[in-house]
Amino acid sequence: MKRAACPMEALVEASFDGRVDERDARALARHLEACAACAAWRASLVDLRARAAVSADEPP
Amino acid sequence: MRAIAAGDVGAVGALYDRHGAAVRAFLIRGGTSPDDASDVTQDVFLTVLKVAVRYDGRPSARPFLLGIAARHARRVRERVRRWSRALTLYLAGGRPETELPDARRLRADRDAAFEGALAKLSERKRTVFLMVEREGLSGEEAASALGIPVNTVWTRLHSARAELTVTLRKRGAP
Repeated sequence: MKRAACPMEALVEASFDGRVDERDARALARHLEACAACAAWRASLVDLRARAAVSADEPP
Repeated sequence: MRAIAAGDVGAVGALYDRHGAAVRAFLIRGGTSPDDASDVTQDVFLTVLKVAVRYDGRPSARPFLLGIAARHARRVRERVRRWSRALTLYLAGGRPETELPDARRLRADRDAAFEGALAKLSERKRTVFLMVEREGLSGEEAASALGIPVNTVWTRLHSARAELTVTLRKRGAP
């Protein structure tokens, strides 16, 4: 599996899961403005959560 | 849960009323058929009678119940895997086409793409993903429910998300 990777992607996910402190969150916010890979990864995380929630509303 | 552990069988009914539907929905989302999910849900609450003494006392019993459900579901799916594969092939050949308006079709395509990608995950990754993303459990709650270290939850969750992203992208999912 290949995705455009950035060393900060782990921090993006940790932030998404509420596992980073305020200082890291601020640094990450600055990084996200400049890093397309991390911004895309965050968008994917948001999209997956939305898809999971929609599916939960309508069980197959 | 304390009442059940103390032998109050009637308390299982109240627990079922509160969490039964959520447990069944979790099972279906995890790949258990609706029919099996109803049976497994019953089994989960029967199991609670035996294992309630092990409950760690947290405010919500839901993670505990989902952990039991995940273990039961795994056993059921292993049992039916062989014949269900043949049955699925048979049903796929006879499924009628249905006409849907554009918006509904797009939504259905989007949901189907996600369900397909979800089904491709290993059961362990899918279970963690659903516990966190659908049920809203914290990493610690999922870890406790499944009896695994919290770091394992984060690792499986990361793998699940990465695989889902790649699968959806590969399929050009809407």
